[in-house]
Amino acid sequence: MLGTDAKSILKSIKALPFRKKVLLPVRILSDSRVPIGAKLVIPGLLLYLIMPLDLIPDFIPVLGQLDDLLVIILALGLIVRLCPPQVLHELVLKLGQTSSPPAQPKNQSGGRNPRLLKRFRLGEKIMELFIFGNGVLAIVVLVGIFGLLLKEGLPIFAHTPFWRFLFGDKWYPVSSPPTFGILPFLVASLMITVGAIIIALPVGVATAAYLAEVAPKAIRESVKPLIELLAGVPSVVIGFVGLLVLTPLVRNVFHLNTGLTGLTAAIMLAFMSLPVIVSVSEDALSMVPNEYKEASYALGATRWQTIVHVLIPAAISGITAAVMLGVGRAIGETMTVLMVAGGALSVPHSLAEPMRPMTATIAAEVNNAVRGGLQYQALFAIGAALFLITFATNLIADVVLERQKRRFQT
Amino acid sequence: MIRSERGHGAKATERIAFGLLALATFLVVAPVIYIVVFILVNGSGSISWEFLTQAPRHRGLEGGIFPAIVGTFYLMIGTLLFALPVGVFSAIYLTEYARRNWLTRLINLSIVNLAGVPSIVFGLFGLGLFVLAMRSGSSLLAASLTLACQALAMIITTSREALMAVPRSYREGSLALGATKWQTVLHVVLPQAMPGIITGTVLATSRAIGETAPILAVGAAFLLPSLPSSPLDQFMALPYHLYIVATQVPGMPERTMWGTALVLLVVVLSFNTMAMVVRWRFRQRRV
Amino acid sequence: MVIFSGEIERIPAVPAPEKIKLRTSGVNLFYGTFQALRNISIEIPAQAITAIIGPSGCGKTSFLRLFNRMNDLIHNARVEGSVELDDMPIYDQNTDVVELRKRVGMVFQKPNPFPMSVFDNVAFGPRRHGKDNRKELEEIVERSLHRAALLDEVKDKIHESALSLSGGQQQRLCIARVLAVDPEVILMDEPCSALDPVATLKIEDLMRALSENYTIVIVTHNMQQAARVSDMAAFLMMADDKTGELVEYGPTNRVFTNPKDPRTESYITGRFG
Repeated sequence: MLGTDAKSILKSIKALPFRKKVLLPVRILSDSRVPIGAKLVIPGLLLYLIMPLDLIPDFIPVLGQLDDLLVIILALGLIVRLCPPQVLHELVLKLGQTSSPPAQPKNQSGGRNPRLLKRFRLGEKIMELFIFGNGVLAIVVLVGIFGLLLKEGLPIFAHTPFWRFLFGDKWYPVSSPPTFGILPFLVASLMITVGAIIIALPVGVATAAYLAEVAPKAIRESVKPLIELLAGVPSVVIGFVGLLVLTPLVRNVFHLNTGLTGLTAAIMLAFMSLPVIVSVSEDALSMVPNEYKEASYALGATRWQTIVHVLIPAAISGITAAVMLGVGRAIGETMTVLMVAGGALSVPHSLAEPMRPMTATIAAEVNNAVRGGLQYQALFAIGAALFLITFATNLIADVVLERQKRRFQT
Repeated sequence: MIRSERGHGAKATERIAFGLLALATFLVVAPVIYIVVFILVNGSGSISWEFLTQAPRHRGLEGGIFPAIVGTFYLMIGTLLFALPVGVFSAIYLTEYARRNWLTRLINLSIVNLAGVPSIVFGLFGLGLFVLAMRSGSSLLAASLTLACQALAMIITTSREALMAVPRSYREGSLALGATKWQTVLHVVLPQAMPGIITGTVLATSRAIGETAPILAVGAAFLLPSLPSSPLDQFMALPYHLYIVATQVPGMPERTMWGTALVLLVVVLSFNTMAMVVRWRFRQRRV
Repeated sequence: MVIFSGEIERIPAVPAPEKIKLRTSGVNLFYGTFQALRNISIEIPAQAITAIIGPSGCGKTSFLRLFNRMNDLIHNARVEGSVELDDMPIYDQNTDVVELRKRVGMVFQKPNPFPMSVFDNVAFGPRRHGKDNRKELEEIVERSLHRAALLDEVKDKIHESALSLSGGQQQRLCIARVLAVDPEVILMDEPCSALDPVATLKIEDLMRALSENYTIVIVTHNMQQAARVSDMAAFLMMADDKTGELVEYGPTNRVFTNPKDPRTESYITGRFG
């Protein structure tokens, strides 16, 4: 054969139009004479695309997909290389023949394929793959976060056993030898969160009920954007105002030595978790079918009785979800508690004492910790604990919300 | 007689109860207005040309906050650049391509949970991955990527809503003409959903640049002699600057704190209101 | 209505010399566990108008959407049996759905022009299929609008939003949009149900004119319309389990004047009053 020499084949490949060039690997793969090695490139490629181990990790937006694209192109090239020259030459010739559309007489239906055979659309396939890659990114990021927290945080348990870490009441990260017990922070987080929810729950649900059932339209329309605005105010700004305004107030009202206490933090967190509690509760209340209300009115109940005895019980799962989301916000909030909670390292006994929740601990020490050192590991372990707690609360909220939706859908 | 008395009592109870509900609403709203007005009033006195355009001097005791403003602006661009395309494509996958199967449920679950991950945990993630593992250091790039991850969930959620609001009939019309799926998405669905997507993205980005904890963990700088000139340079940012001047530097004049808080609030809220106005007008047009 | 009572019996179920364009044999359609259509076999002739009539909810639209595989968009839809276009099975694994939809166009119940200009609407199909020469596109748009009897009305606002047109004009624009892709079959799903009587008549005239070159399948609940425009009529009805079945199929004249099935008769007489 004349054209078996590599150079001339390459030349004829180059002469093909782009679409045919792309088709070539497909043809090669569907040819029985092609060695198994070339065919294995495809599953290999897929494996690379799916595996989280990458040249550039997938969870880096845009860049993360660039390497995937590159690998696809490389793989296509590889397939062409691995194909026996004889077969390659034949396939190229075949493609070349069919690639001259003007030579083919157009049939009356305008040159479309009359047999409806599936066409390979490369652009479409690449887009689909790319979009899929982005679609699963949320999973990748979430798993990536948890994986990283574990990878950096787990080694601390070689130094401090798991239970001692969790229930140890002494945190001396820089003394020698260092001690890592996060009980003070766990208790502080718990106290502040419970305090915040005790304040925010009645206020939030009352506001939601007012907006959903009582308020005139004008008030509703002006209050809702304000609540949305609150969700948009940076937490450091709220912390700053709390520091200047609320802290002296708490000190004077409760006659404390300092206003930097868990109570101050709890009040601020209650305030900050209100937007989510109000909006989710309000959604839940307005989702209750009108018939429930009408039935209650028909029995002679007042609007207030209807709200208390019909609407709130019917919306209870939505309100539960709202509270769970509020808890999640309160536990995860960092800047305000860092600024106003006081930062004491011992296990707090009451909300009126200064304390340091988990988030504040990470924020306060992350810049001083030696990278890869014990303190650094301990902080990541706290991060992993935080992640698990918020994950659980969000999961519960989501499940409860779904149930409520399904209940009222039909 | 008894019945009317009871009815009267119930009415009175209702009036008191509704009064309490209104009071609760007031308790939510009043602090919001208070915070905004408080900062506006106290901060406006410290805003000067010098404050806005000069770098801080003497550990921030003098001078202005110009580098922090610029840094926050860069962070916003960076966050948008990374989060917008990924968020939109992810939403496209969920609304247009995904089937109803376990994977889609898993993705939805991940989005819900991603939205709930504490910001400081995002900070740790950014520190461990972008700063250390990728060796991009405490840079604009690392911070933008971290904030983009945080904004991702919200961008996906709002983009998905915008995409789902596009009528089915448009999609069917396009597919029935023999357009491929991607052509339908690109030429019919996306243009329709764009205003909603932009709104959601701006909102998410404005939240992200107001965050302090992530950039604190990634390592924002408090004082920098010069502006960042590449994405790999260190940076200052308004929220972190406010945190430092408010709590970490003794003897800091109050006007610097107020001024910084005001600028940060104005930046974030102007984006917020812009997004809300766009969305509101868009809704009006729909109806 | 005129009744040609003498000739009816001699007309065969499908006129022999005509070519069969679409064929279904033993088709069952399921949405999840619900069966929407049962055992439907029909042969639709080329270059003619076939009307699908029947009470609402009997699966007429689902049936029509078999032919361009629009049911694929419903996540748990499943088709059994075979559907053929020009004797080629279209529910085959190797069928290119995009290619199929180019050849089998569809007009929807509610006019659904894209929120773009008139020009962009008509040029949408050709553009997606790779035509980007401005001149060529202009020709296609003009020809399609002309064939849809819309050119004179929109000549001056060809670059204005299609949403500014009246309902009837929008529907003809949707027809022009389909014509621009140069299909062989046009499926129409109650194309006049959202239109006033004048606009309806215009569309019906248009259908008659188009039937010389295209195979048209129309779903309608309007008996008069079916009688006015169609060559063939298929009567679908719900069985007791809400599944649609083909009760009767034949030339429109015969189905309307001398229905074989008592159910067809009672439906038609009930409808004509």
